[in-house]
Amino acid sequence: MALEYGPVAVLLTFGVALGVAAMVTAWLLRPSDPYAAKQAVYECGMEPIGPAWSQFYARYYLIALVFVVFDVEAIFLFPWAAVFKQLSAATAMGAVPLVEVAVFIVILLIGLAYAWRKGDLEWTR
Amino acid sequence: MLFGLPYTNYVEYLAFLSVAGLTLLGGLGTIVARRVFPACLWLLVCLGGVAGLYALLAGHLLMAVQILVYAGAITVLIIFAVMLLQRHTGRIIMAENQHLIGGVLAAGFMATLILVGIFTTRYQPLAFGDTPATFAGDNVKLIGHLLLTKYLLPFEVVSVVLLASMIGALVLARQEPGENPGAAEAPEAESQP
Repeated sequence: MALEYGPVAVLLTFGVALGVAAMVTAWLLRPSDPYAAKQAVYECGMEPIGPAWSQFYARYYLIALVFVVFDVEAIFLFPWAAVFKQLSAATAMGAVPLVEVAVFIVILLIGLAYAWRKGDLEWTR
Repeated sequence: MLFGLPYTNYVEYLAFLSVAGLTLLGGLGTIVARRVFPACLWLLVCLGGVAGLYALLAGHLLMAVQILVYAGAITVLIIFAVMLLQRHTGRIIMAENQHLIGGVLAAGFMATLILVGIFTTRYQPLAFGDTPATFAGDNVKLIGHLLLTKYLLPFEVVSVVLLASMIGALVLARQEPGENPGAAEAPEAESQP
């Protein structure tokens, strides 16, 4: 079972190793010569004003909530997508799987329509 | 053969150890981190480790749920709530671990429960009912087949449940900023899939 995800593990390992290696190599090779202008957040351009943590609009939270629900919906589409082709063809069910998932999605689209209608998706209000 | 184990088992064992270690590290970081925001990021490590555990158990769909929903969406919600509150209260939220004894007792109780569960369960091969042989060996396809045939009604009901939870969450969370600053993080409990 573990070997199924072997490529993922290899990719993860090499991805992390490459990043670490680049940082370590740069750290070993570079001369240490800090001065004020170099230590600034931007060497050229505007001086940043205020803290980096700025307020984002509280209403984005609503968008995040809608996102969670559609994320869960997307999960349910995974197994459907995996069998859709075979199920339509092999078991003589025709368009039934398509209709089944269409009902599933349309019910959830009501929620999107509701959020849209109520102005929850507006960028600012 | 390595250490008396067949080669694949050795790889699996090593993978389990690293993934389980990552999960423990993430969990430990979550409760040890003093500031809440880094604790959220540690939670992300922990959830990623759990996704790895699901992968090792061949729970492909569960792994996708873990990464997409828990690591992807729930963590985003938690971070949103933390950052919004941090701004409202104007200070960095610190974790206050006040209930040490209660926490140890609860954790010990859970650990005992899980261990008893592990050692008393009589494990059996998964039974998927009568499914076409073409889907055998691929549990995502098996689940998909069951969702579209035997469990079609629950599948459609899930969408109604999701719809209700989305509208409920929007109604609860839709408060004008300043009206009731604490209300924004209230509807988190609904988001369990």
